[in-house]
Amino acid sequence: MDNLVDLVKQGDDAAARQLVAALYGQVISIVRKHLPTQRHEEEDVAQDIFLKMFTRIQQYRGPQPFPHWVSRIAVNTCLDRLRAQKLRPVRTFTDLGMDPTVYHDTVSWSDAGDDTPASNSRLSSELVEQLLASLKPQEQIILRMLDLEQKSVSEISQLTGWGASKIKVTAMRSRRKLTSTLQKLEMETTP
Amino acid sequence: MKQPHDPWQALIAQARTAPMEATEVTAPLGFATRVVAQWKAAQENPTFAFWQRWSLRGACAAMMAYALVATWSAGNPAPESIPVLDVPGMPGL
Repeated sequence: MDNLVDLVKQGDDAAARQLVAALYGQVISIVRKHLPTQRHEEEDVAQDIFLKMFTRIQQYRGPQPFPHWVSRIAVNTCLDRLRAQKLRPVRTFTDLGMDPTVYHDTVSWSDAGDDTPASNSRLSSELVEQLLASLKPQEQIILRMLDLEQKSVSEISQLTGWGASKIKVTAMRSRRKLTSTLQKLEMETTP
Repeated sequence: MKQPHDPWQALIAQARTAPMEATEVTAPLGFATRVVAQWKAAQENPTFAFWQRWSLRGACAAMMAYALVATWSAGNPAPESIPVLDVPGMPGL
């Protein structure tokens, strides 16, 4: 990989194409995770990320591995895209487009981690996406990495360039917001 | 002791068990060539790329200014009769 990077810095087209091919999976995976609602644009976003990578490649000196450096560009590009999106607040079941009974029956709150049927986990996953979309872009990025992907604070710090305390405080605030939203929704389902 | 009920943690724990969608690791056909060509084009003509970017921003700003003026004009119509300076011997001046 480092050899390819050196060649690209010298302007080698074939090496540049190889680098794109080698990093495509990693980049598209980040785009899909952070911009799940923009599936139709994922190729455009990936292209944007690679163009930024090439434009800034002369600035890359290490010591972090090149794929980590690219991941940071990818995460920041996703953050910019999220900033351009309108927030979708969740206050009622109408905002979720979900029937309260289905919600109550499918999502069991009591025992997290038990043998959840695939349909339930898929519904929970959709619900999580909608709830995350109601948060600010930075909160979305942090909570997705911390709670969904179970990355550590230091990993997130490396990927975003944000300090550990900022990550922890943002995560705490966003969890509090979502907990409050969910508690209000639960009250709606209680007869 | 029983943990207090935390709906977010319960929901996220369930969501984590959702089957992962397979991510293809190969770029679409021609993707790498397209990206490299765009990079090279921007590299060869950075001045053009710079002007292209700023012209687009300028056009957006001009459109916004036009929309503002049009809105303001719609709310403040021009007076129907224009005052006429009455000079003896030269009617309607």
